[in-house]
Amino acid sequence: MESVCDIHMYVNGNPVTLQSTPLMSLAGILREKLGLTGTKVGCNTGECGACTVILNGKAVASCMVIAGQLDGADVRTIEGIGSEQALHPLQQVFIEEGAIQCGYCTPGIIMSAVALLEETVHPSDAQIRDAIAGNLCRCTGYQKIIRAIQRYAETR
Amino acid sequence: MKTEYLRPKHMDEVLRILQVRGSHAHILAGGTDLLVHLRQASYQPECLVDITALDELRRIRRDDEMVYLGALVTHRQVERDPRLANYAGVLVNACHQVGSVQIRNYGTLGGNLVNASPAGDAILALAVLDAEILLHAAGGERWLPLSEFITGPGITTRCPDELLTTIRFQRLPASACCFFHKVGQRRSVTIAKVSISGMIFLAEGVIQECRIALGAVAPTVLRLPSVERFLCGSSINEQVIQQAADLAADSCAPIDDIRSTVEYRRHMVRVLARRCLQAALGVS
Repeated sequence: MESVCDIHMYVNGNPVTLQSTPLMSLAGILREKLGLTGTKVGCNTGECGACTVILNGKAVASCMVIAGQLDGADVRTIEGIGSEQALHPLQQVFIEEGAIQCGYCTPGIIMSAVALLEETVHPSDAQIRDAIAGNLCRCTGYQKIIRAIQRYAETR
Repeated sequence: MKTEYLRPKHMDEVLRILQVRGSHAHILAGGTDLLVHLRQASYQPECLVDITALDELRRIRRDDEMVYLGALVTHRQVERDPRLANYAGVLVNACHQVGSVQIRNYGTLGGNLVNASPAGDAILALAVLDAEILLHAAGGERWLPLSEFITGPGITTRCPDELLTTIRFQRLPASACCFFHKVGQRRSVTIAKVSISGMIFLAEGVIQECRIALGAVAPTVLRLPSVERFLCGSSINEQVIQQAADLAADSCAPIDDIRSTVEYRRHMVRVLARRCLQAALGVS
């Protein structure tokens, strides 16, 4: 019988208790055990950034974090940033700037941007590019994404 | 066969497990290399020892002469350490160019060393820093120079019962000119096609100390003792730079592979060596 680990963690500020096989990824746990499907799985190798969440204050690829490492963790996902009824202003600016096409990369990019903006109130263009370098977008060519983040940062 | 997953809370537990099970166990730190390999190979190891609970391995310590990095220190920690920028600039620069923010936040230096890629960015900088690594086993510990630890592509002299716990190196003099340059398919999330790093310490236009290393052009990261010997004691001028660049290009052993070719790599070694030495000239 496969071993199981007990996880007590916080997801978007809410305490969560669950069990998982130790090697299940955080992305899998969020999507399949918690129904939080805003976090997407792209490459499953940590390179595309679609699965980016903020773990213990840092932007990470949730496909590379395994259940065994999650006890006591603080996890923030796109669902904790805003909702359909109440968009985060950053999400609103993304829409206004046309920074979204298919939307698959968007949750990951928003999480990377949030992580950046929590550290750097007015990031430079270079800092924005560095922060989202691990988030691949096949649709937009990135310019509007960068502009949206820049525009949002200017309003603060 | 399902993998047995263990996450010991203390170092001595890890070492006991490795003593008994080491030859059938994989050690997991950040997992940014290991998990990818396991998933791609659909390989289920007999035993996975997750060492991420060993918080004592996450520290950066320093004294007047030396810097000590715990094996679980992440590339991001190094990148953002303001003091390391003053006396280990090559390593800060190298770590900044690894992967992406997400990868740097999770991937560890210890894991990167044990992965022992010939193209490893942090490894290249650590070679310039003359780093040593500490291997712990239940029966004792030993320090090894980096050059004796990594002996081939993906090959280290770590014994199955050993855990890499610490990396140490001497601080560079504040006035040393450091360089690190990586050529990849793109600017981020890319493995080096060819890379160069080094440190030059000049006094009155004469090179007092010089260390140069190349990445991705040999079975391991490569220090260039012939180039270093040639440059030490020389005044830095265009002719010396050109000769050093030619010597560097002749000293490496690149191969054709999925990322690049022999010709391009050798050409870029010459170009990068020139550029980096010229930058040092500009500063002097």
